[in-house]
Amino acid sequence: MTHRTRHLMRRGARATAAGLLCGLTVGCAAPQAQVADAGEVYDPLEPVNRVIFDFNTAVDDVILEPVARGYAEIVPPPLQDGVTNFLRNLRTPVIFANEVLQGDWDGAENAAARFFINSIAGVGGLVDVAELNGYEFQDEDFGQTLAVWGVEEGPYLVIPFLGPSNFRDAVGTAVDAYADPFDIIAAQHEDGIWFIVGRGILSAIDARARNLDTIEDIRASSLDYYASVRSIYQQFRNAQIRDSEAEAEASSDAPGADEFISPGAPSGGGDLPGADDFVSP
Amino acid sequence: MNRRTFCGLMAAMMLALSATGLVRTAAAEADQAAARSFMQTLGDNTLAVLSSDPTFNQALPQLRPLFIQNFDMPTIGRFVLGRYWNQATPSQQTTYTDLFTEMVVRTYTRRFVGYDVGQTFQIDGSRADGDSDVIVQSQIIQTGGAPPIAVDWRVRDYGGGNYKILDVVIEGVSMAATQRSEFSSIIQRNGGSIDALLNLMQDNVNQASG
Repeated sequence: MTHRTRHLMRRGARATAAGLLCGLTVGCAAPQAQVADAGEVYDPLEPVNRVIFDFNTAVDDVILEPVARGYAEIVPPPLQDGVTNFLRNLRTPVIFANEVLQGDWDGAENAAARFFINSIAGVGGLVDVAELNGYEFQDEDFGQTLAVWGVEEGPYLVIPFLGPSNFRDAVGTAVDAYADPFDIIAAQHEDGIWFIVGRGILSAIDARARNLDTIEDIRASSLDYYASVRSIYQQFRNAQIRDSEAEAEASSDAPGADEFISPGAPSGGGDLPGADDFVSP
Repeated sequence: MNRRTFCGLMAAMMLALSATGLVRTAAAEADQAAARSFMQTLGDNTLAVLSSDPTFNQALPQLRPLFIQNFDMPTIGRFVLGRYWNQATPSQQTTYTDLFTEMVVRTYTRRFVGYDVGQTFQIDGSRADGDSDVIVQSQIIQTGGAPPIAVDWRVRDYGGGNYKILDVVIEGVSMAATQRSEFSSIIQRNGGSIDALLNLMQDNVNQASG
């Protein structure tokens, strides 16, 4: 295998893994909102996105969800936790880099401490010893870093196999996949592709298995599954970004007090309801 | 005005201001404590229904009055319908509010019936939002080492100890905002037809049995 081929396969495998991980699960699947109307998502590519979403849902129905359900039933829970911890430990160098790029020194220290403690005392990351010592897992990715830098999310996007995203997060996913040190090392070895592919598949199963109930609940309670997931993806990402910016308290996508009015109360005209349209009962 | 009078006036004003502030803070804290206790009571009552491990159909008649009494369904429903509320006829509004209430009741019944016995509901704190609303912050502690789920409840004080829930925000995701986005998408894709939404809601209510 030439270096170039390996390189391309590595990128493809990682992107797929990240996609499955982020796309089909609610773990990443989140939504957000715009100032004008909480929950409204800019989606000019909706017709294409819906086709890809249906494809992803079919792949999930036929392969990923049954495999994840089997995994959750057969594999003993402590071993499942070990897999989750191991995969998170592999991602920690990328999380560390993103904390640094965001200027979050406490977060960077936390990620570095987690990586050394769990790699050594946690037997190669299988046991999350660091969490027991107060170093809690915090997820960061380059999509969040771009957001902290002020990059707008751009149009909503559904990526084949990977699921919900947007222009900003798609770039983030690609950068994280490209920059992962373990995959870079693996790609330099003859059989390293199996590490990359295996990691990708395992990441997808792990994430899907941890969200079995959540996804089932969203599907059952949705009248339009696509629209629900789109809104949830945006809100969830914005919540992660607010955490990154340590502004969780300062602002929220969730509707505010003046947006809930009793049906009997009068309201103004206009296209989208704003604070002025709402009068307290 | 001599200096002494001026200083005296200033001191009196500051005292008055800080006293008002103290009273207001105390009142706000009392409201928040009442809102937290409202949520605690609702949580306890819900868990009492679930303690016998009922099926969906067993839990539904017991939980329905609890949810209808403690969620402000008409106000949430109006928010969720957004700008289409004013475009709906009075008869559509009535049908919509009834269907919306039943959908919420069934969605939450299904969620709670799936609730693990080992899971616990823990209230962490609260903050005021506007004059009438309190955000009660809680966590669902899961079994088997899974991370806790952060759930914020928007609770409104209608006076006289009468509190109702307006929104549930799970890990930063507002149920009301999600449904509003979803409903508006459905109406838009059906050429602005509110009846199309009502038909889908009716189908969902007919199906959602467990």
